[in-house]
Amino acid sequence: MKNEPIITIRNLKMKYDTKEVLKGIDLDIYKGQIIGYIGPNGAGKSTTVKILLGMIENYEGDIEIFGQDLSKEKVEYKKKIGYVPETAEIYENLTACEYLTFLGEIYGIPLEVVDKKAQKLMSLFHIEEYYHSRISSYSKGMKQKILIIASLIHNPDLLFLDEPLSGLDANSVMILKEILAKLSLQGKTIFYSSHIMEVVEKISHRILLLHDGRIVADGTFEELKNKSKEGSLEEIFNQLTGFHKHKEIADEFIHILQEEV
Amino acid sequence: MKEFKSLKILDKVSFFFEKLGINYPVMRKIIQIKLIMDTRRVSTFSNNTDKKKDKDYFKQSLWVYGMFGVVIMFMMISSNPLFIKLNLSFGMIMFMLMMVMIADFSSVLLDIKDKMILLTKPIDEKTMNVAKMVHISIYLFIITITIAGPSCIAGTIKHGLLFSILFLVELVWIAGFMIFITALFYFFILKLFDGEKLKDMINYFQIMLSIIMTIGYQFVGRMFDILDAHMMFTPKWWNYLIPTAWFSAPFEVLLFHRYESFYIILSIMSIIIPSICVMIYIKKVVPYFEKNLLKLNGAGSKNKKRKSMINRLDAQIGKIFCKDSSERALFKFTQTMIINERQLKLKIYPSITFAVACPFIILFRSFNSLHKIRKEIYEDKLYLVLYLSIQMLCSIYIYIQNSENHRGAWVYDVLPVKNLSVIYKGAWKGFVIKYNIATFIIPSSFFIMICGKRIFPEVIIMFLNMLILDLLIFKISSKDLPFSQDFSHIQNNKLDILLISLGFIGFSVVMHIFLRDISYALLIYGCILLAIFFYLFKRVFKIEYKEQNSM
Repeated sequence: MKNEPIITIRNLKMKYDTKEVLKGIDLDIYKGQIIGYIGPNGAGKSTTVKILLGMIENYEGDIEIFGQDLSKEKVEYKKKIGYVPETAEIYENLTACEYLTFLGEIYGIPLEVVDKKAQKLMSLFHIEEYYHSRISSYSKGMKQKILIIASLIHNPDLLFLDEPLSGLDANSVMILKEILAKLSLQGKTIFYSSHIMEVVEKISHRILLLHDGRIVADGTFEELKNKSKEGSLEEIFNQLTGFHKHKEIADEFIHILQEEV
Repeated sequence: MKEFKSLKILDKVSFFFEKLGINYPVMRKIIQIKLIMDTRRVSTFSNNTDKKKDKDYFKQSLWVYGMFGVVIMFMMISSNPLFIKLNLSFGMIMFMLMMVMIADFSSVLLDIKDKMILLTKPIDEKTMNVAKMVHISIYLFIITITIAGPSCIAGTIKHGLLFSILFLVELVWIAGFMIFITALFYFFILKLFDGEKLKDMINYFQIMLSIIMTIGYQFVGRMFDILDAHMMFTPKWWNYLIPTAWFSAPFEVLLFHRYESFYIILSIMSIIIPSICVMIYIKKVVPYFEKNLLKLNGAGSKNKKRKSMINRLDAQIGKIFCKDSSERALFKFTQTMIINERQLKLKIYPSITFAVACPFIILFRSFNSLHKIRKEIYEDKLYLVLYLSIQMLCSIYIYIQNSENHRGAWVYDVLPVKNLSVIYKGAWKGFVIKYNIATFIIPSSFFIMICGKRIFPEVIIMFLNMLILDLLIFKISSKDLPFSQDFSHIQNNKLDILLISLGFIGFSVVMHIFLRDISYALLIYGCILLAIFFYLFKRVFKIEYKEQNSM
């Protein structure tokens, strides 16, 4: 299964004004993998995803998605991509019905089909009765469910998930994890980025650790563990990003709390 | 999904978009959902946010613009030279367009969600941008027609068909020009400040717009005085700098065949300058926005703590009037919430402005000499108009239960406040001192300046009445905690509050007039008011927990 790369990135660099966010990334992503994409805040994770999604264009380097050059093919490839953004960007004044059917039609699914599909998917998440309510009235978890449904409704081959579990209850988390595992068995590729190391550790086939615009670790969890001699992904993360002071900072924090005014 | 007439008209010219290489069905979809969202966006003027009904807020605001359009129409009816009339009405139309664009349409012009949501879908950038432009054009077209339509009809009746053709063509140029001016405004604010500042500026424009909409009508009468004064027009060099002159000149040339160089140059300017502006807009301003709109999110702007004289004064006043530390915290909290909440400011500031300005408006109905005014005010007891200000100021209190972030009100439940009256008292004091007492000083000191010390005792009486009314309104309003409700939650007894406060003010005015000329009566009246105030003050804040809960 590992012979066809779905994404290839060569020497990807990106600058915001004078600040270098990505300092040269080389990467091959293969079909059917779940990739845990991790790194501290500001490491360049979401910039990479935004470039792959065509939201940022003035990057340097070569990218191929589904075997096509990203600088030439700008629209059609997105039909095979699903995206869950970290911040719940959504047209909140629309109802779930209006929003989901709108997206479905953009993806080229007939209205009746996408309408039925959306309703069925919502009922699996137990939110079908809100299908005709405005998204602005939803709770955080419900919005997240809508974002997940919206990213999957056109059955994409490549998924970008940015903190997809935020706000979901434990049952929904289990459903989603199961869905992701099954999708990857079907040969779908999933780019999973999150700060919750336990989840990344468990679901990813391959972990990429981004630090300061570069990939500093790449491999299965087992490989990373053997290399760094640490027990958990969290500890590996701390080691590779050069962060050791969590104990001192916590002590200091508590010390300040106890100071007499 | 809802179908729109404008989309059906657009369908007729779909070949045009397809020729440009635009995916028309996708563009149509985007515009359709945008129009749906427009009908749901609460405009600056809709006060009754009734959530149950699927009301078309956009249509609602159109009625208000239409009314303003009728006012502008009066310009066209007057018997002045056409050039002057057109200058005036174009000026008003342009002003209104800009106000409306900034106040109500900024969310569309400055949308950053589009990029996040649409560009990750199989939509090419060109289609998205054209969809946005068409959407703005549809919106502008409808607004412009509502504002300018009445004038156009009136002008056509008077000057014939050629007028209406010219007028409509000019409107297109004006609309384009106004987009440019508005965008330029955003451009400079974003360049000089950050997104938060821009949101503040937009908020001020919204406040200004609703003030103009309320007070504007007061000047219609005055306008006729000006119009009656038969103006003559002589060209001057600085006329070249005035946009309304450019747009009015073609009428002189084509309707009255005045081929003087003055009008010809102006007419040429009316075509060339907007064209250049639209070009600059597309070539320079739009790309700039694309890059810098993310600034709007405001993340990472590090503000320094603001410490002004007023802040320190407020803190001092808080210390004097609130002995309890939690009460003082609420005092301060209330004031900072009102200053920082844009939505709340939008509700409160127009009323405050109106309360401060209405005495002035009533005074300057006619331009008389100062001496005459002084006499008039005192003898006709015109300063009693202050009671109207009092009524308006006091009624604002009911808004402090609302907040954009009303969900944050859970903090009250977790805070270790034993006695709820502390919360109400602190909030009430914070509000009354800053937004009633401090505001009341402006018009009242103005009257004292004009009429002299002799009305000072009477102003004190009014002041005491204001405090009592504040307490009364607190007593009858529902006891939701400050900033704990959505804006759609309006007081269910709003009418009661209005009637009771009007009744109270009416009674006070009668008492005032009755006691004014009796010696010592005012003094005794004042003492009685003071006693009532202290009695109420001791009582109204004693609130059982249940009462608050049951609301």
